[in-house]
Amino acid sequence: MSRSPHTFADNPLDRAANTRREPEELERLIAAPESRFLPLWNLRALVSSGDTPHLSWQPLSDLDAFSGDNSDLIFLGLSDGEPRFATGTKGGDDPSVNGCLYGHGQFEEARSLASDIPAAEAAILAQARSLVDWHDRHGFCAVCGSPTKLGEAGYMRACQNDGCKAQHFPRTDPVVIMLVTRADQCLLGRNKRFPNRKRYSTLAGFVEPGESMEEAVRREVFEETGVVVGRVSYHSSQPWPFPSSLMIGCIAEAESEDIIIDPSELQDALWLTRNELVSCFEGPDYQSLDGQLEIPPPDAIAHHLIKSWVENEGAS
Amino acid sequence: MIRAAPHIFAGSPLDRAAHLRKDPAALKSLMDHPDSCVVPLWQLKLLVTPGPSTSLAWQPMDKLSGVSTSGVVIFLGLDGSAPRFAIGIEGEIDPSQTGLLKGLGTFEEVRGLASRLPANETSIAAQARTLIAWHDRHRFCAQCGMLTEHSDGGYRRDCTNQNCKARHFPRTDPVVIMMAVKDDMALLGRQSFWIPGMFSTLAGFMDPGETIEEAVRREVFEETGVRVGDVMYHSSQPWPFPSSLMIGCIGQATSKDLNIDTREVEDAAWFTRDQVRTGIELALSGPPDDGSFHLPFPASIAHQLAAWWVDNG
Repeated sequence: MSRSPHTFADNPLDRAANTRREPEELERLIAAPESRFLPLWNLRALVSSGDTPHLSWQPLSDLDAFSGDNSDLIFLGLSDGEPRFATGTKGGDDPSVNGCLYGHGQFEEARSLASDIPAAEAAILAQARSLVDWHDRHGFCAVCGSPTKLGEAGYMRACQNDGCKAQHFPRTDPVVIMLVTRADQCLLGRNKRFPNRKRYSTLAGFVEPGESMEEAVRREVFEETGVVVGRVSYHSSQPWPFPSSLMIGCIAEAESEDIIIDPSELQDALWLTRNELVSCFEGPDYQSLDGQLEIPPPDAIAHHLIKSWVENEGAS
Repeated sequence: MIRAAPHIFAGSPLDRAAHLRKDPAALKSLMDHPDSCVVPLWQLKLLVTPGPSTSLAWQPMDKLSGVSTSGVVIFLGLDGSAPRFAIGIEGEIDPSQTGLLKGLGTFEEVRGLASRLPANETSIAAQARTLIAWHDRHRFCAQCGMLTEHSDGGYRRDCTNQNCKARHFPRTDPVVIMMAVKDDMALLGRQSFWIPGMFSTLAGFMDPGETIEEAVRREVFEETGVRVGDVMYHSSQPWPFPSSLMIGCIGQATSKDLNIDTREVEDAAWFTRDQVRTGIELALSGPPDDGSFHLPFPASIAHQLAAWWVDNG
């Protein structure tokens, strides 16, 4: 079994999902002396300071002032049998600066943290961040507008209106992200929202209702660049917790070359040869064309889609 | 993509023309287009022409004026140059029995239509059903509890609370559906409410922060205790009940002992290639009534995964 090359993949926890519907067992796990809890504040995770930062897991006794009661704890899973939970709050002053978590570490953004902490911890962070964010934005029932309450250890929210009682589940948004290839060239685009003007990446877009992955790949490529795609091959997938995407990486074989960009999405798109992209994987800056072009860093699946195509010279 | 032909509910003939959704003037002129048509839905059933081999009962746009609708007109896309829309009709009384739609067709469940509609119309039915169902269940803002209103040709809902203004988009729930295989045998399970003898591939919703491959391994282990190593993607299928994306995989099992979680599956067992082949043949000739082992109907990705493995796996 090969390990995933992707940041946020290969979560080491046993999610023990059956426990989620067993309130008594959950109570026991929360109270167990070996249980540890990850605080998130404004979606930033608490990390220990030091040369190699780590997620800063806290015992329950140190969380009272941070999260109040235990009703909003999210069960992440078991680490070698030891329970792991996440808990989130928003607003106010940074609790790690002068507040209740002073001396326990500092709160940092998941995106920048992901490449600094060990890979296994980045995967746990993705799980925790997606769930905390989902709870933050689903305090009300979309069916009737009444307040909802956390259930199933954080994997459900239940409407509190007895006339409705709708159950809501965390959402995961499938996104297709594809390297379009044609003979010795691949197609990269410059999204108009990229802050870095040199940044070119693979095309991507959300899968729509009533669409297969392969149809979504063909539609997005055609919409954004006018290029017609035939065969689509799945490459790999990556959870992307901003806030809750599943990146589905594909290689798409183009059947046409002319580019007509959609200016509402892209500023530019161009075909590049393997030789033109080799230097992206030789230096520290992921650049080529004498620094005119830069691809995303290795925490993004786009980097690996491009890399595996560039390195796989024998394949078409 | 291993499988060349698309699954039922995939393979839409429409150009979704998504760039037109955000342009109210463009949407208006699409609705006014002389070739513009709409398919009505009532209680998530679609209006279809009568008869065993049926088709969607497209109506000219003005046919729907005067019918009580949910107000959401969904732009499905372009069929050539002809705009195609879907609309939800409210009320308890079947509007095809009385009133303006009488005699134009009957409202039928999408699942039952899957094998009767032309293949390329099943995908339009899936798109329409998923979107109408989403609007039905998202009239309020999950962030603040206030009313939302539809926009973007039916692909967005906006909170009407000026202090919130949250935008909400249709959801698509990725589901892994997989056949674990080892030593020329395949692992299949069944639910207690299925007809006797039917077994299918295991499946489950993806969890937050998971790859497809991790979800396959977790679900198989949770339900049966079997460990899976390498995972191979096979194909995907939209499944509009209400909004799943089925991600079909073959998993190479690294263990065989079963430890079945009866809360998840009633039973699970290993079947030989010959048994699976027989189960597929029985599914194709209509499910047997004597309780003998068979796979689900051919419209399901489970059937297609098993059929692929029997010949190629």
